[in-house]
Amino acid sequence: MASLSVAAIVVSHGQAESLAKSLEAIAGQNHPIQQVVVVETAGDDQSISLAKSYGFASVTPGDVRLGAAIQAGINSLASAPGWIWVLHDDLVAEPNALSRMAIAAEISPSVAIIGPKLLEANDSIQIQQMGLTATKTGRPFLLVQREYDQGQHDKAGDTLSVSTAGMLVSLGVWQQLGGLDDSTPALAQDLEFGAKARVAGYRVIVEASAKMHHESLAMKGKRPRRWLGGSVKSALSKAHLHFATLIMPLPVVILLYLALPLIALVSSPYFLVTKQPMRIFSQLSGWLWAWFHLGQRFAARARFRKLGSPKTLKPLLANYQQLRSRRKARYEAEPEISLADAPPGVFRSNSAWFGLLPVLASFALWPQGAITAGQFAPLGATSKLVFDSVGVMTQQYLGGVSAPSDPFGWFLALVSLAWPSNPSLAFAASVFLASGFAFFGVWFAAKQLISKPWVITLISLSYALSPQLLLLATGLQLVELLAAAVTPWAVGFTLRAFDSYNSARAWRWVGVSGLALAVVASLSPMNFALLCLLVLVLGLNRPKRFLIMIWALLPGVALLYPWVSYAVSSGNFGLATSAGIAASLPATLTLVDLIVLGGFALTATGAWFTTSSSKVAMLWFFVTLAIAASWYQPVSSSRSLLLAGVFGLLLLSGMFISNFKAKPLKVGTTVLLLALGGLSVFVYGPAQQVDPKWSETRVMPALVVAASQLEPGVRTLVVNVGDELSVDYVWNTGLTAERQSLVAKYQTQDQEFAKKLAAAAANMVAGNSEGFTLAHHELVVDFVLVTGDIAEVISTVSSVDSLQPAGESEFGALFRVEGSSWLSSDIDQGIRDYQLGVFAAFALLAIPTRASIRGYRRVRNGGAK
Amino acid sequence: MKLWIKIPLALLAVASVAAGSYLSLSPSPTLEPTDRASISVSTTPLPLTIYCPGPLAELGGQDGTDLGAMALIGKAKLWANTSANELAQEIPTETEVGVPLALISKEQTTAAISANQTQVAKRQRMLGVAAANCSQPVAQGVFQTGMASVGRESILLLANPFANEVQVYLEFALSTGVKKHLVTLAGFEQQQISLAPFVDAEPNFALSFSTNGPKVSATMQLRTSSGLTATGVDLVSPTWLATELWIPGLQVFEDGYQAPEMNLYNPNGEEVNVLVTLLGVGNDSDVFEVTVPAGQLLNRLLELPIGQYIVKISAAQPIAAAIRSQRIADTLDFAWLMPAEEFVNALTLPIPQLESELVVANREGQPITVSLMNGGKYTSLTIPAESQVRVAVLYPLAQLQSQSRFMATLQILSETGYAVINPTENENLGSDLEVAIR
Repeated sequence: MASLSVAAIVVSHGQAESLAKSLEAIAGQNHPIQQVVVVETAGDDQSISLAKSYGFASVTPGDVRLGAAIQAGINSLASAPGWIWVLHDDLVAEPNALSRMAIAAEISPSVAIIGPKLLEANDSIQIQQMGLTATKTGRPFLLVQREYDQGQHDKAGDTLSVSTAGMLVSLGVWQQLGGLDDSTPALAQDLEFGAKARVAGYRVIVEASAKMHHESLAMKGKRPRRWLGGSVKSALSKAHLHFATLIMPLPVVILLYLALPLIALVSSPYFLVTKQPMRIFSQLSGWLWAWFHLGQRFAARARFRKLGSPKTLKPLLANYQQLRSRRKARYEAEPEISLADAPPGVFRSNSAWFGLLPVLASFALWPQGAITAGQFAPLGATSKLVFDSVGVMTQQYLGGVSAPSDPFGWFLALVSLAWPSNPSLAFAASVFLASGFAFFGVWFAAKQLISKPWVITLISLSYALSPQLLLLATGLQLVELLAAAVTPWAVGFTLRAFDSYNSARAWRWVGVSGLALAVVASLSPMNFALLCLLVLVLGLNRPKRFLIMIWALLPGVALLYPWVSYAVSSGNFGLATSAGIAASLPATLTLVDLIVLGGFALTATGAWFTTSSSKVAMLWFFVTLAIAASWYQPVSSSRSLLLAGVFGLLLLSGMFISNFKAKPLKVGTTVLLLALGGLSVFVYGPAQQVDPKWSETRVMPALVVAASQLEPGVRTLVVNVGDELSVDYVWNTGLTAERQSLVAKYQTQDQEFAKKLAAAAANMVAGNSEGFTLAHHELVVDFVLVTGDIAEVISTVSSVDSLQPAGESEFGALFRVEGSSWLSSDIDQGIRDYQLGVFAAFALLAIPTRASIRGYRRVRNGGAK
Repeated sequence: MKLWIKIPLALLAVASVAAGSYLSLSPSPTLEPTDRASISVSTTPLPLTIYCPGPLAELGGQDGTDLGAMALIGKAKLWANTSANELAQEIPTETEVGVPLALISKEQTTAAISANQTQVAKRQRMLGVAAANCSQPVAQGVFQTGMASVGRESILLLANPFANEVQVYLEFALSTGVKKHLVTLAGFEQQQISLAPFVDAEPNFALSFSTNGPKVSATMQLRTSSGLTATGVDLVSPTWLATELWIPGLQVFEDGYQAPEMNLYNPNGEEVNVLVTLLGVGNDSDVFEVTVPAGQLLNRLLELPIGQYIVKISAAQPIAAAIRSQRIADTLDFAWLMPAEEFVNALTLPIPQLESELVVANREGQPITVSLMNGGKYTSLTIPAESQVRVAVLYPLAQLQSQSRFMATLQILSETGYAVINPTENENLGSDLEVAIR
């Protein structure tokens, strides 16, 4: 047995329960301990009396940091020992731990610091830590982490540093080095202390046979945040910066500090792709912290370098091999079950073929050009033109209206990416495929809850062929149709995120879910609000995952923020419920709706008796809310909300059919659903006459479009001659779908501007050159387009001196205005750049990477995955 | 969960969905869009120009043997009225060519300037009275009165009253299809175009015309003969397409040579059903429906008892209509009765020195009162709903005023012949325009 004189300093912070175990282990050590001092930094009476019960001394220095706490313990010692054993209240040492370390200390006189093998407290065969080092850039690096202890690391070895938990340190060296520096970030304190010892010429080793079980309360977030000086990730960032300041050459350090903002920015996409978005914040906070504590960092560097040259540390820093092994280990995963054993998905169960049925039922919408029926208009000629008008705060109406553009524009911009040179056709294609998309969406969502593929297919078909959905298609209520098609996907992604096996995977699905919810927001703010509520309700069930899931609402919230904020500030709250002017007009429930809702509700009721009541209750709540809220439609139809209710009822029906044992009832319900679907297709399917009014993709003559593409400030005065003279003041390439504005419809007209327009139009049709020129100078008009009963006025318009005929077109007679001065395009972009930033971040999160695939389980609780 | 808890929960769930559905049956509060009222604008209109087509044209010389020869014959008498406004020129009393009459004034109505022309033809091949309203030039119009084949002749009198060259596109609607022709008129040029070469000797045809922008004066001259006997001549102004047309002043004469015939022209791409209501004035009414094929002109005889009628023609698509009526006095003559324009407040109408009757009509569902000043006398005319009143009028002027909308047509019923003048409003766009800003 070694004869080392040791005093144990136990640093406690109000964790009496853990402290009891720790003190018990100290009392059971087979190496004599000269003195034991419990340093209670939280002043916890229970901890102090516990120390007393073991006959140990205690001190209460106040809420001080680790270095000061240990120093207080040392100061309170009755006599100076040769070594001090630093323990934490969440550390339980095995009985021979101290003796093993003491032996190691006696064998090697140059050793000044010895660390134990730290094992997980709740998994005693998993190594938590065996010595500390850093990467060449100064990032703290654990030599061994999350490995099962099979003795593979039991060879005692030199290391750069060891954790303070269980550290045995020579008191003389402690005093020589000045102890732990409390101005150093928490997670760099032990690393710095070890490195100081090293540069001072001492050895630091890990004694593998000395085992201790560490709860690691601080790292698990069970200590106050100030313990680490923020979150774990933020503490790591600070430790990284601090240690880099110590060991790197001065020019590199200066460069590093200058480049910190850039590093924070550039590394953000990386953290998103690797599904560690919270590290972005820690990177940012690390940068700010470093700049605001510059003096402290350089003072620490000076103190450190006074002890010796850091060059001696180089062999002890993590090498490439170690870094590579760590990266590989991160992606090691439990073997998944084979595809053959997994329940079939939509493709492997051959259910995907059924997805063609809803598409076939929509053949009347086969894309043939731009849809111009009702409130629809062709989209801009290119995706760029579409994009330019989306998410802006200037509406191209009269002299310009300061208001947000319709949220629906975002959806148009998204689909335009599918066919950048013909966005109108891309939109028409999305409409054509919507019901098929709805089928697969329901399949995706339902498979999270139902295990039998045929049942999932049945309810997916029942949804995609329901009268409500078919009527949306044949009635050309296209915004509602698209919202009804996307909503099941958003629900599916949300459920998937909640059920994710690990946080990386949850983040990935949050990325996908966030984007899907944003699409729903652009199509139906009401549906988005309902899904927000769904996330909140699911969050009550899984509070821990909720902290990640809540982020999924961010893209939708960012998309709707200007819209809702305008609706609130203008007092027109109803506007917030509509996706835009393209949305259909309000419509109340019909008899068909009541029959379908009644039929589905009847089958859905069975779910109460076959499935988990909490799930069923949650879904019923969702359904009731959707149906009741669909009543409120102050500006446009909320049919998509009704469809969300139908979707919920079908999920419940599927759960009932899937789990119910009595065959006759099961068959009866299935037949009922099939009959409803068949009847619906027969009555509301292809037999319905649909006229989308396919047209060309331009809304203005080619000359105006060409001029607008050269100069975006082009303005055209469109005068329609009929029973009444009506005037449009058209910006750029015309009032394409993405430029239409619901707000403009509800905005009080700028009367002064309107009067100028009226004067220009009246003077023009009257052939009054002087009057037109006067009005034109106040307005800026580059082209005049006369439509309607052209013959009535064409000769008088032609007689206006400043109008030069520019030819006839399918839109009417066009005139070029002489002496017009191009108006600069002054569009307020609002918060569009931030919105795009959010979407881009979520797109990066949504990209599947190894980090998110790791831990993916094909089977969870019997679901067909 | 126990079954006894599940059952009420299931019932509660169904009830909540039922309640939600019931709520959705009631209408939601709605947000009304901002009201967009029209803006009234007044501006100085262009100078007002009306055009009198001038004398009749004779094709083939006096005896009809000079093939290809086309000449204006005689003089047309002009009957005009102007206010004290500035005239661009003196108005002649008679003319040997077409005459534009221009007025520079912001006040533009028939009270400011109105004119018509008459010509009594007494030639071997042309007999009767031809009269026309001097109307504003137009950029497009329809003649549904075209006549060809043996003993029927149509000549188009085209004139460009302005300085700029104009192209006129002619489109003939024939039973065999459509024929097109382009005419270019230099500034102030007049042309008389025989339509026989274009219409394949079809007895009835329609002619639509449009210009490349500038307005022209277009009048169709129609002449009939039976063997070597002239049976009438007429001048017809172009009309417009509409879904409801009113033709006042139809008179089935005791001494009518033939029953009136109606032309219905459907320029649309699909056939149209036309409802014709012949509202008898003091006698029985009649109604019939007829289908006019797409792009075709339909001719139909109106077998009616002797008496006065006002004719209402309605269809789902815009159409054109006219009625040809014949009358025997010293000579046999005919006139085309055309759809009448509605006047809002007043009409000033010059009366020629020929026996004339003014027909004032009311298309509204209630009676209206129209004041007539003629021959120094004031008369108040009460016109029943959907009816008309016929009064004899004297040279030189008739002035009508009413709080209501009314229609008017002047019929010349002299011993020398029969003609109808359809007055139109003389006004350029400019004053009191209603402009809607969208």
